Amino acid sequence: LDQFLFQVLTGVSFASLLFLVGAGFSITLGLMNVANLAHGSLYLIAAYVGMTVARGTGNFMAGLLAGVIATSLASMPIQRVFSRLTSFPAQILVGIGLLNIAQAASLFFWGPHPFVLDAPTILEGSVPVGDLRFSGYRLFLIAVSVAIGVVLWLGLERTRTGAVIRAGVEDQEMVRALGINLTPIFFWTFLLGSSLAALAGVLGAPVTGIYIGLDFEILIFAFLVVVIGGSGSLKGAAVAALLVGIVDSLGKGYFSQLSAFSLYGPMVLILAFRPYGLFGKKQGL
Amino acid sequence: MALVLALIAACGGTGEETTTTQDAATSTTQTQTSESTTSTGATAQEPIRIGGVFALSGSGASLGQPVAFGIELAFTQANFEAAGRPIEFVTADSAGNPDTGLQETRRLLDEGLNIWAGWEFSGVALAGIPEVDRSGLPWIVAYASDDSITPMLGERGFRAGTTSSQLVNGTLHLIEEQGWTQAAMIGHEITAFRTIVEAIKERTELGLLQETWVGFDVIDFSPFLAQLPIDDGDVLLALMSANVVQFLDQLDELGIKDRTEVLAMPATVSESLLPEVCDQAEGMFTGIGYAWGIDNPANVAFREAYEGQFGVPPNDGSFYGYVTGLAILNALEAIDGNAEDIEGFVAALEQAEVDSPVGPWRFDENHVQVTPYYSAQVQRIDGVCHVMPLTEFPDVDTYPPAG
Repeated sequence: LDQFLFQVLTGVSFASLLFLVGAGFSITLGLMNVANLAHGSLYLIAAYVGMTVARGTGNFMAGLLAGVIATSLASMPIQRVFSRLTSFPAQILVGIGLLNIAQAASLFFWGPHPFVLDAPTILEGSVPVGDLRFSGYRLFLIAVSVAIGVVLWLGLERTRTGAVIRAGVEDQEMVRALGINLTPIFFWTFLLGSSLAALAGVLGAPVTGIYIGLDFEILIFAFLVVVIGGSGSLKGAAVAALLVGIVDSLGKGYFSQLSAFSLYGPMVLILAFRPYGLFGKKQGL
Repeated sequence: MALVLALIAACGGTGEETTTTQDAATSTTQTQTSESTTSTGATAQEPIRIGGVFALSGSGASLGQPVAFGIELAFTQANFEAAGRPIEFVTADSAGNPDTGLQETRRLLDEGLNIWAGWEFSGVALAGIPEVDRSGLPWIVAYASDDSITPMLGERGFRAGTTSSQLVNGTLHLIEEQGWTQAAMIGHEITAFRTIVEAIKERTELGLLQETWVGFDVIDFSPFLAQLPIDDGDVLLALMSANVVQFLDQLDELGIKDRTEVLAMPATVSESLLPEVCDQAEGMFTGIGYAWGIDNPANVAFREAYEGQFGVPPNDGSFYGYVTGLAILNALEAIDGNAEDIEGFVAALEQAEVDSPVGPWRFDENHVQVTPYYSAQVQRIDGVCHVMPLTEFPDVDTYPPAG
């Protein structure tokens, strides 16, 4: 039972990270029809910047803030570029180009070797689960992710801007016909998505480490969350992240030889019955 | 979606080439365009172009860059000159990808080289070797360990790095030395590590309670680690070669390292990673061809020069790159810098005696390096973790068992 509990907790903590990455990607894709592959780069760059500032100042929160601000600023010109790209192949090529540029920049500034960002001292403790210890930082990650999820839900469901975004996801033409200018909404939504990637990058650094290549790996998870949950759906991102995180953790723990299946198997099964994801509509990916 | 993933997977290196030469006492690096150089009819003052493909970007750069740095250091110390003739060291980026590596290999060969020295990933080397061998150049594999490279060496091929068999045999020496009796294993699923596990089962008394093989895309190792049947006093075989920083961190986070000893692969406790994971790696054992802490003046000079030039400590890849460079310089001096004399160069390389950081170094009759192997442990020296040698095994075989 201890082992099972540990695996579920591990899965939920990883799901928390996946939710932060996937939610931003999903909202951007759902509203703007932009498959921003540079989402992985934003995650990675935020982690590098956050680590550098956190180590320089000795303050994790300063690193978190710096990572989010720097990455949000960097995402502004990216948004301008993507807002002009209507063709999906062009978005993909630009995204791959940005991924490569970000990797080269990371190599130049931080070198080829990986880093681990230490968790804040106050969260360095752990909770015993049988013979194992479950890290206090992972519990913190779960709590932060839930809090951000609630704030996002309130923002999308209880504010006028949120209503416009939801309407935009459903039918952009209709929203425009009502005289609503979606350009600033697109801008701020893209910035929100980028900020979530940045937040995940810094918060995830004590768990995933920071290394060149993480951008691609995390992007695959972001895609999984969007494809399973359905593009543009916050609820879908949350459910998909939990599903991927827990199934993947249990699969690795109990059926390690089938761990590749435990990651992609649920996606294949769900898509067989729900081609647009659990909560997706017939648009986007 | 499939298009996205295919495009991501197809994404490779940048096609850039870097040439390093010595200008007066200063090493300069410049990006070179595609002008070609021919070695035919070269005069004594034409540069000797030595080049190879390395993983210089992406996650593989942590392996490829130290090897290229090691070669560059050897040439820097010789003022980028051999027998009065200037040397150009040309590198291209494989990004650790065999397809990209092959394209870059062909490009470098088209642009003209005298000597090939490169490769650290076996997959990239195995893809490129036939191409380089067909070109007629002498070639040296700096650090790709797959045993299947050895039969491909032929007349002009050499390998300066360790072999999978040496890794296997060195690991078995270490197990015997430490007297471990029971173990669990977690490892990346690659041929060399499979070979080690099979050799442990066939040639040692070590009882393997569980084998857990993981893919290279694993970010969170905790689910795997939580299921390892480790008891106090057992040893954990950690055969990891990628994402090792978070692996070590998560091993520490779960408290497993406090309960067991860890036998790690050289890449798992690479010297270049230790500044980042000193607490997590301290106390782990490894079998390795080069340990930072080898106590002799040549090694002290090597690591000081390396750290001075590149700002990071040398690892085993740096060492294999360095001896590759030294062997080339040694052979070029022996033939008065006449790199166009390929037969002469190969003969000189066969006879080369290098004063390396681990002592005398040479190739055997099959063109495979002959160096000692070490049992080693990550130890904290003056507050900083290093790979420190425990015992030198002078005769660790570099070949698979006969039959």
